[in-house]
Amino acid sequence: MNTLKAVLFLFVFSFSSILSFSQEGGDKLIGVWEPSNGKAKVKIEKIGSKYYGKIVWLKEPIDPETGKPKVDRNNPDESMRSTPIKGYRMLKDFEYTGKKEWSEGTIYDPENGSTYSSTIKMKDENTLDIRGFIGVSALGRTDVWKRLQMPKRK
Amino acid sequence: MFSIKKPLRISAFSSLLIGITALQSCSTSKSEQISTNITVSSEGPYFSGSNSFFSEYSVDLTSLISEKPLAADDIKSIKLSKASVQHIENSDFDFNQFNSASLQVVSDNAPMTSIAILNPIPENATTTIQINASKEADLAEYFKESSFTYLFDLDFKEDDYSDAMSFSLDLEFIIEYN
Repeated sequence: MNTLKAVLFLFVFSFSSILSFSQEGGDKLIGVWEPSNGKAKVKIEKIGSKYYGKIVWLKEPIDPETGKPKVDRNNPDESMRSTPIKGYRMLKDFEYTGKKEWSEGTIYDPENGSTYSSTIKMKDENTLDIRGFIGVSALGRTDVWKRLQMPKRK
Repeated sequence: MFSIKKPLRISAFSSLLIGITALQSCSTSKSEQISTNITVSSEGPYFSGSNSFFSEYSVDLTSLISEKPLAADDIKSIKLSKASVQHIENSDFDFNQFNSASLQVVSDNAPMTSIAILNPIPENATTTIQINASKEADLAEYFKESSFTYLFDLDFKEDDYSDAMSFSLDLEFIIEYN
């Protein structure tokens, strides 16, 4: 009976360790990232069990047409078009699937108001392949994002 | 032979359509305004830019509307109609220290949805603001879950070294149900 308990304990312990290790792997996505066009910086954070990316810096924060901070003027929901682009969560609902991949998310392009299905692959600690697509992943485009390196304190 | 039966088929089809329409009119959905109060909070310090405040919300379908306990399948739509936000505690506080305010809902099973925005925050804002509800965002999916999270974002003009902040949100919804 004691042997059975020990086996059961080991099984539960191993399972929870694997689960916890897998979740920690997912958190490697957390940080500030820069898309290849250099127009923005996006802070990825975890809310609940999913990952979200918020625009925290814009190369051109002011809309030249209005002279005011850029807003989400292409949002399909007209009543939300005053939402500021700075602070906007352009990456939403990514779930860690293991093997340095996050899926089931969406990426929003504020320049045209379109939302695409999206997956993220971490090529190395400081490089992400972010793929946006419509329908099937084959019909899409991949952008390379680099982790923002914080200056080291002396 | 075929040409004789065709009018009969059309007549039967028309009767069926009338029957379906009659059934639909018997099951017309109802609507009711519901309200709730939540407190969102987070710990400081807060840095210039967007900072988030959270509140977990447990759904109780048995007391959501006054008429009857609801089942998840009864809910057709739930839309936010009004949202007012009040700061809790700090007496020298005013909303002028923020550029904008927005409200989202998020859960493990449904995609994050933005439900209200106020940008910019008016210069005469004091300790209470009204944020504008989305006309399209439908929260039915969220209220069919056992719980979800309200996520309130405030865009700080400057860094703020408060230990913590809390806000009281009065929310009104229009629920359509069967």
